[in-house]
Amino acid sequence: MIPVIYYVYISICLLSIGIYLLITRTNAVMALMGVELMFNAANLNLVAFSQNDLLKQGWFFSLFLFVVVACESVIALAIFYLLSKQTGDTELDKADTMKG
Amino acid sequence: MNFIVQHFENQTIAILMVLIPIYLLASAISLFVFRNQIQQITNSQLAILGTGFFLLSSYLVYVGLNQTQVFQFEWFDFGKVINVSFGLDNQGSLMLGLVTFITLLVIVYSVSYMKHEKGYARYFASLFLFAAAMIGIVFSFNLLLIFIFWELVGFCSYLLINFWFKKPSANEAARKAFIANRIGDLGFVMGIGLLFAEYGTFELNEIILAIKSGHVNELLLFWAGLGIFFGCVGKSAQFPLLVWLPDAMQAPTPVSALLHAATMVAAGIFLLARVMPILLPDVLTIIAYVGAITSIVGAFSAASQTDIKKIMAYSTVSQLGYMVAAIGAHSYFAPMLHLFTHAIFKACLFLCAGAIIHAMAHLKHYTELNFDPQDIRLMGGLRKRMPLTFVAFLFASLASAGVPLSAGFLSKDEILVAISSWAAIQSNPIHYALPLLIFCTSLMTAFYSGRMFFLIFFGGFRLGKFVPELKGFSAYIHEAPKLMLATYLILAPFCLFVFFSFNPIDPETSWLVKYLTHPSSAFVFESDILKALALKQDELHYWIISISVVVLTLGFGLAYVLYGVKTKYKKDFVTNEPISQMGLVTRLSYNGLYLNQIYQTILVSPFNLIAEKASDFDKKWIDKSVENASILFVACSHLVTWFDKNIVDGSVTALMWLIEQMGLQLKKLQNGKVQSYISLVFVAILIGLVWALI
Repeated sequence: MIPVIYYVYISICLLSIGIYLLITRTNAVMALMGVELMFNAANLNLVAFSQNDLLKQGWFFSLFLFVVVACESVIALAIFYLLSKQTGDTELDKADTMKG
Repeated sequence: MNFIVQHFENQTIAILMVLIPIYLLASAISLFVFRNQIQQITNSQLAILGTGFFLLSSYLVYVGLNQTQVFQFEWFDFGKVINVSFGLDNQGSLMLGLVTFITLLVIVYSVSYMKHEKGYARYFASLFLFAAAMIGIVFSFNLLLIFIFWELVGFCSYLLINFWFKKPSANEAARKAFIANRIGDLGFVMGIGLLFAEYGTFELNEIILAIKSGHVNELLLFWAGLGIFFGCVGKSAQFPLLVWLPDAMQAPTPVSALLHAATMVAAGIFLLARVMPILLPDVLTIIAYVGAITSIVGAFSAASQTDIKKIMAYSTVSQLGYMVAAIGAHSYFAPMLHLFTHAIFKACLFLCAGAIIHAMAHLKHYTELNFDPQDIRLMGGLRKRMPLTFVAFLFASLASAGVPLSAGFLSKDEILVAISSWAAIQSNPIHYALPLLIFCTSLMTAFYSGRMFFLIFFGGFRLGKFVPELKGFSAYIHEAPKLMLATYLILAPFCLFVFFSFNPIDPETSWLVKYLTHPSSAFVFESDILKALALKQDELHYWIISISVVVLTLGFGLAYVLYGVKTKYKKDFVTNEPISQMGLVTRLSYNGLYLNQIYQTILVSPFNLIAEKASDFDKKWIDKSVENASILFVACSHLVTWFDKNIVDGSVTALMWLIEQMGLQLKKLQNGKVQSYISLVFVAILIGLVWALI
């Protein structure tokens, strides 16, 4: 059995990479990929921590999470589509009409 | 006349009594309000006005003569209840009748006399207010209430004396009257205040009852009595304050008639008669001497005046002195009787004088030449031109001099008897000076009455001698208009004895005795003196009458010798010799003992000097210091402004700048870039996490 802590290291890496992507990419799709990575980090935690659980509740919960992530991606992609219709591409920096 | 309070629940009388002053007051106010619309009072308006007023007051006179009505009510309460009572007694109702009668005649007279005056309505408004105030005094049984109306009378006299307010002499006369009255009122107020302090009430009846029940503080009563008398000195023009009355002739002549007869100067005598029961014998003695001095000063000054109204004014002063002296001599009936007879004959004299002045002024107006229409030196021989006025004037001046069979004889004689018997029962023979003074006055009274009479109505018309253009113009002198003529012709018969007493030499049997006598119970201090006086009066009566007739004959004889026939003296007098070249006595008399000049020197000049110095001080010191203070103040305020602008405003501005900068910085966070928001969120979460872990 691989100890849980190694999974946690990996998920930290995934989360950090996800945050990095989300913050630094100017392309909305790349940023979305960062978000996906952060979700995966969370999922990995769920799965890893449930290895000591007899009922394996975390595994099932991770399945639900996939669904939620898929829905989220759909909505995000729909928004990106609308964004590209307005600004011509999916540059996040151009969607700054809410600036104070 | 009884001072014990009697309550009659006769509301109607109370309402009628209140109605009279209100009626007059309403007339005064409406006249004043519509003064620009009213140019002329028509005869029918006059009749309506007069009849209502006259009926009302004659009913009240009738009521008052039959019983005393006193209405008392609570006025206000400041921990101490102040009661006020007004009422009608015999004395008051007779006075009401007199005031009504004279006022009505004066109003009728004025309608004609003032016809072409600009302030026609203003004049009548003041006249009505004057009558209302006087009737208020007559009705009041309360010192405070009397004082209020007393002041109102003074104010109305000011208005009327100053009727021609563009004339500086009228302004000055009005001011003088007002100030002289204020000085007297000071005494009056102090008297009232002393009585209130001691007895805690302004009610005359209550004070008298308290004194009767033994509550006597002799010192206080002495000063209070003197104070109230000083009020009368001001109002009735007694010795030290008599200077205002001769000047009051600046008023239109009918006003003088009213002022001298019924409304103004009579108020003082009336008040003195009202408060007589509380006056101590010492006070009465002082009153007697002040009255006697006044009467002789007045008569002496009247003897050489050239202005017809001034003679009459000094004559009034002298006659008022008679009344006051008689009150001082413990007599009640004599001064009251003289008040009534004097009112009648003096009103008649003034109304006649008004007619004469009217005629002379008409001539002046017609020819547009400059002469004084009131100067008796310019008159003469008027009996042929104005026969009816002559008759009325004859009756009135006979009464004024006190010729037997006239009303004036009755009352003057009663006064002489009262004063002589008072002197006779005094232990100190020095008091015989009092009757001596009064007999001298009597002589002079006869003299000046005769002098005025002869100079106006006998001899030739002298105006031509002074104004050569007017030689032979006497034909232009004519009787007064009918309305004026009627009033003094109504008054003239009342100067005869029959209306006052059927017995021509002894007024003791008069119908008025019943109404004008204090029961001896009303007197607090001197009931035994009164008995002695009554005995003495009976003893002396016929002696006094004989002496007074002799004195009268002497006075008239002197007047006839000097002014009635063509003598050198008369010639000198009527050829306009300047007064300054006359003898000392004449000058003294002409200038009224130089009282005006004396007051000018010892009172007015120092006062003016002090005022001037004070004004200098004010300009030099107070103004300067005020100016410096204001400069300092301006400097201070500049400083404060700087502080305000820079420190207070500055700090606020700085705060504002700070907040603005903060806002600007914060605004940068709101850059619309979704990734920067997210980074912020992560940073915040991180901080939160670190916070939670530590």
